[in-house]
Amino acid sequence: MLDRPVLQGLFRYGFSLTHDEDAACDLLQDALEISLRKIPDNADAAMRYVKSIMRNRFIDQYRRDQRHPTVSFDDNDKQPVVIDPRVLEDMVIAEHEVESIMAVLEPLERELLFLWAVEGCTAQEIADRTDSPRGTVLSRIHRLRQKILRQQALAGSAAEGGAS
Amino acid sequence: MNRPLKQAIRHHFEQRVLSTEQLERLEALMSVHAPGPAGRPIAKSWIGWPAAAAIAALLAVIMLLAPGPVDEIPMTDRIAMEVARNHIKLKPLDVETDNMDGIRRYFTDLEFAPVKSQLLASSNLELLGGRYCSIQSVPAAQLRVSAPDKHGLKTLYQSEYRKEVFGPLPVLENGGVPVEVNVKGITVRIWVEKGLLFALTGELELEPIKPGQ
Repeated sequence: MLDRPVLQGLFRYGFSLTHDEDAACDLLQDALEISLRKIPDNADAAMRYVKSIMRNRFIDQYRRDQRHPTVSFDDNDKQPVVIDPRVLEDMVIAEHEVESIMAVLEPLERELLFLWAVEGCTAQEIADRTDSPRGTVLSRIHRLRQKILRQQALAGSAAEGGAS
Repeated sequence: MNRPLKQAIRHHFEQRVLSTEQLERLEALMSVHAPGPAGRPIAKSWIGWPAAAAIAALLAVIMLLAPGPVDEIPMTDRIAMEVARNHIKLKPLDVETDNMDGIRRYFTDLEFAPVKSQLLASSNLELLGGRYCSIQSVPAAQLRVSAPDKHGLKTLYQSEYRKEVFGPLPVLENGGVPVEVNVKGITVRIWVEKGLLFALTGELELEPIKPGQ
């Protein structure tokens, strides 16, 4: 049986995908119902197992909603990528910008941020957990950084416009 | 106030917590499905030590004589895992078409021609296209279909049915019913029809067909 801190961790992971607390709770409940009969005894393995179910269920459900029916969840980049996986480490952000940035990110971008910031995963560990090539993860990190910078610039120019 | 991105993101997620009521609901759910205290069924008390020792000895002999590992993953599970994994990836289609003629014109390098499934005839699945793929290293056509209403995108595999690779599977024409396997949250149904192996992801109400239909 998973203890409360583990359930909270799983809920937060669900929130990184759904960006909605109710949906995250539903996703967790759904995954628990499916997984409980096969859940591993080891707590870490159990958490990873439930997370993989949550991820699969979410992706399947997300497509079913058909908001983005053609989004590929395996965006392999063909071109060679030379990206320093630490590019996110030196970024700073204003407290009030977090919500607006999270709102414009795609689910897999939020998941990546969650795995990096909350679970402390490296690019390779993220690749392993999301069953993606490391190059794809690095590309996502690169695009994520660009997106955050763009959003910050937009917020900055809006604030300047409001002040003038 | 500016702070490092990592710290800000961590704070953002740490603010999200399940309420006590939600936790209790999840715990109740887990307790309903929980196995025995040790995670395994408890041995019945009428099995005495001599009987347990005899069973253990018998199991040891079986394991020594068995040709392969006793916990080998069943072939249907392996097929389902491969299909579910590729369904989640949703790789780009090689060909986009809404009809089987378009599919057959494209998949000319296969040892078989993709066909319409009798089982899926009443499901109103809309064909979107396909890509070359394989199941257990056997060349296959991976078709993407869209189901009406809430069922969304599905992946349908067709491959030549090689019994020596895939093992015995339910044959629709013989009255077989598709095997249903749930792999990490994705349901996969597997069956044989018209000499081909079919594997379909997701939930769908399938009408059984009668032998000879």
